[in-house]
Amino acid sequence: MIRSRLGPVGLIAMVAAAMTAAAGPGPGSSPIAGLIGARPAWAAGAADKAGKVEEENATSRDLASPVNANVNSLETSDEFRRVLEKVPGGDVSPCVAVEDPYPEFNGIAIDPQNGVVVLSDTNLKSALIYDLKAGGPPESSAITAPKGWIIGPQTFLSFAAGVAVDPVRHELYTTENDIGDDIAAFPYSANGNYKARALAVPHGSYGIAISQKYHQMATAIQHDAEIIFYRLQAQGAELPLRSIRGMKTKLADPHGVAWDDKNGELLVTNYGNWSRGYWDPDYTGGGHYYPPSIEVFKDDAKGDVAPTRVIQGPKTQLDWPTGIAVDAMHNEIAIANEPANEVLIFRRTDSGDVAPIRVLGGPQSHIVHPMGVAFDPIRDELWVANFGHEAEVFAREASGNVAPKRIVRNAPAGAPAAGFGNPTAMAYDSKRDELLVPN
Amino acid sequence: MASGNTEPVRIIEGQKTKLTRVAHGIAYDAKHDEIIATEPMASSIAFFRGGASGEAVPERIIQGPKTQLHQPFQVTVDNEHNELWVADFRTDLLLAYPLDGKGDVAPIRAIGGSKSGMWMPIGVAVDPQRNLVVAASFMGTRTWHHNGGLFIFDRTANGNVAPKAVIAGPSTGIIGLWHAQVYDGKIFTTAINIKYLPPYDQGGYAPKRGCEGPPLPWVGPLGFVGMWNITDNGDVPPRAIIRGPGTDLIHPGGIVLDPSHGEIFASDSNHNGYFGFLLPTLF
Repeated sequence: MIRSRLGPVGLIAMVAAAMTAAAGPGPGSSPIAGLIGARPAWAAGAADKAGKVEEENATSRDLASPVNANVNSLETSDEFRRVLEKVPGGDVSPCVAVEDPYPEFNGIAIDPQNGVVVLSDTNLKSALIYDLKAGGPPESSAITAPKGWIIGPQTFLSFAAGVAVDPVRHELYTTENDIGDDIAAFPYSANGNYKARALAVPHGSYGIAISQKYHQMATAIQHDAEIIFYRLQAQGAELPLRSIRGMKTKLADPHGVAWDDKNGELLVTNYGNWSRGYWDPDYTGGGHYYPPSIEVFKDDAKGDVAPTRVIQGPKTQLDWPTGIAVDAMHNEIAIANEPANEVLIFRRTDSGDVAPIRVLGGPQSHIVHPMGVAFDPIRDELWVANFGHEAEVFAREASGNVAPKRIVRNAPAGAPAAGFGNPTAMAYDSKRDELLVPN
Repeated sequence: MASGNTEPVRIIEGQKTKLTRVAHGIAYDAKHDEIIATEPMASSIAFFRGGASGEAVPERIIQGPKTQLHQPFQVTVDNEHNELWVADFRTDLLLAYPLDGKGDVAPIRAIGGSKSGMWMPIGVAVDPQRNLVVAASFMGTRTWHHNGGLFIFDRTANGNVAPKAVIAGPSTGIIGLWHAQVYDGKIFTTAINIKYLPPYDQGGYAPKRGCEGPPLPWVGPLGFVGMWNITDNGDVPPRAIIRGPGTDLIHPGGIVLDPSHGEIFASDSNHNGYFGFLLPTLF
């Protein structure tokens, strides 16, 4: 199977799959029905999965926007409708269904002043809002009830990735990492199928950060290797204010973004994958792989500018660095080092091939596939969002294999996390009887 | 058989793997016990040992200016002719490489251009016995409403050539195709049936003229898995179909065939999962 572990992560997962139907429920008893039934109690009454369409897609028609009239007006043709019932096959129940009925966390953002934490969920295409004091001790197994769960077709949430919060206006922002091509904004009080204030952005937005000093938001565009800036509260097709982009920037598959208003800097994590040919059919230079990095730019940078500092090299231990957070009070940077199941802490002013000052991870930490990190300087805590069913809260200076202070759970303890992120490809390994699914 | 909410039995991941986001193509070469994954974000194709796990280093990589790779999506293996086929979404090309190619290797053949009619080909499948190669195209330059279709070429075709046959039109139910597989003269394809029109220009510099906001994701008529004969041509209804609310497929993408057990598997991005169907009569 392909596990799309958070769309931005290239990953192949294999599920043992004895390719026989005998192990699955028979026709007419969809395994998915049982899975949905296992949804947490707090989910009751909330909208079903975003994007779920009925036979004639009434929902999408109702929400059609003029610019996408060609998309949304496309319907099943009369010719096809006439022949459909004569075609063999039809509405057959699956004998096998592999999916996760619970949210799977991705990005995280914290508003310490207002006591709010927001986590995006790629799996069910949603965002969850919690009290900053939420969560239980590591040994607790219960699901943590959110204050709000934003989910449904009007939310524009699909491949929800990065999250940012605006403590002044009490709003949250989420980036859409796939074909939604949007940043969706909501009030902290949003819940259910809440209509987003949506802004069109280039394809492949991931991390997002905001600045009260500039009244701007910045988002990383993976595919175009750029950081693009908009006015806070921008919506519709509002034009970007500026972008950081070009060969001097050394941006390569940028992911996390953090804005340090105090020190006037913008920090970015890069996976290192690069290809102009991805978006430019006339480019003939081929693709490249660069080492992963953390880059720091002046926060008023624009155009093809070089970073002021770069953390890069074997001593850094960077491995698909995903989420990033900056603590201007203690001059530290936290990095979600995703496949290593670790959080790396660097000095804010580090540069070059430097080792992290602390590494947080290990079985006791519960950190598994961390995607997002956030500092709470008021409570002196560090939050970590796993691509799965847990977010952990640590003392800010925690290091090594230590247990978290609290865990926020979106599923009962021990629930598996299938870890898909928009799976769009499959292969069968006939030698091992396994299905291969890339994310 | 894995079913329900389950974790993978092994994962290939991490910096050394050179895997990237948008892994829209994967194949398993049983003869050489290799996993082949396309990497659009780096315009590359990565080859792994069949049993690879963890932060595995690829055995070889195809990448570089000569490759003509831009956005490689589905990939498929032709063991009979020792060729690797790739559909390139950005350049509207079907590219064939030596199966043991590595580094900055030029394609042996490239099918594409104005005569081909393909627009954003995503899927590719090969029929070595009949010497045919099939593109599952998201859109078409001359198809009804520019909807997608199946474009069938001679396997040895090269350059800007017209397809031998095109399966597209209102009776097909195809809005946009994703992947394809061929077995015993039959084409199995996933009609993802979304029509994605990005709000920004190519390269992501500015919103397109007339854009008033972002598109709603994942809209469009219900998708399906459809089967056609490889000899079909024109506006032909599918010979068989997996479609409807009971299938749990909304906009299916990946597809796997297991004729020996009569099973078809398809992944679905709306459900973030995959589903298997027992339909031995389709084989």
